[in-house]
Amino acid sequence: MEQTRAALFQLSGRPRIDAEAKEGPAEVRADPDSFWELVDPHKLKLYNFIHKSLSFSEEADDIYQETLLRGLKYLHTYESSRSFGTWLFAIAHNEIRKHFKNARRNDPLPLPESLAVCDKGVDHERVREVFRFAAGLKPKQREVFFLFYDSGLSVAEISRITGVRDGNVKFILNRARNFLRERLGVNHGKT
Amino acid sequence: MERHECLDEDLRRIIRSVERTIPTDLEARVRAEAENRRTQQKPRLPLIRQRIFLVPLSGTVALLLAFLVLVPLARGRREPPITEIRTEFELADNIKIVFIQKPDFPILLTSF
Repeated sequence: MEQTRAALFQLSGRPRIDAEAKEGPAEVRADPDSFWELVDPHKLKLYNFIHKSLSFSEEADDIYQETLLRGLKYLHTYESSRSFGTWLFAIAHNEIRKHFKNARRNDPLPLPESLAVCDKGVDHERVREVFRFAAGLKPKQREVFFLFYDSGLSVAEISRITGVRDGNVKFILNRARNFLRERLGVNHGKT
Repeated sequence: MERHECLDEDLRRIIRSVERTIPTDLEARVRAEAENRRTQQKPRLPLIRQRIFLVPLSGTVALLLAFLVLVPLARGRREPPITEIRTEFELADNIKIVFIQKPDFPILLTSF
């Protein structure tokens, strides 16, 4: 079955995340209504994670759709004692991976001409610099980057979702920090 | 990790400043597609009608099996055809006379 590695990663003995704490003990049945209820608190983060991981490519909407449809299909495998958010992001990770595998594309992705910046207090050029850096990363590294900075997941959660070891997640993040610290001309954390 | 906190906060703010909202038509499309796939997975006929089809089907299979098993068995029980008749006479001095009757023996038998 289409390798139901289908995102159905091993969840064992891991801490709960913020979003999960809000969810509470969810009664999960394999019916669509409960699925949409569970998806609701995560959908915006999920949508943005997919879009950013694909550098706002037009295919991002299709991957978002496929992620939800696969989630619905395999809902019966989700254990309600676990984090639904992490489970859903793992499915998204698999869909993104499949996308890049099929496209056989590891090159830097082109950024759209303009990025719609919502926060007016943020310098547009810095925003562009950060997203240009992310677009130049390999797909998995880009996912790690956005899962940490955009979705707000911990290193352990990112490791569980992407299958990248904790140490490697930290390495990817540190390299990103070092590069961006220079590019953005900030001195935070320099010793 | 503490020394990265300020930079991390900056980066979070920068990255989250670009936020896309989910188009309403996309949500509707996803739900419609989910419903579509769900109905496709449903059996086309109600269960009772499926059962009605199962009865003649299983009957046919049973008959076929019976035919395949019983026919060879019945064949196995048939008497083997006689292909020859031997008549042996043992005489003194270790002399033995053997008559062998081949395919035309039915005539001989009737004339016995």
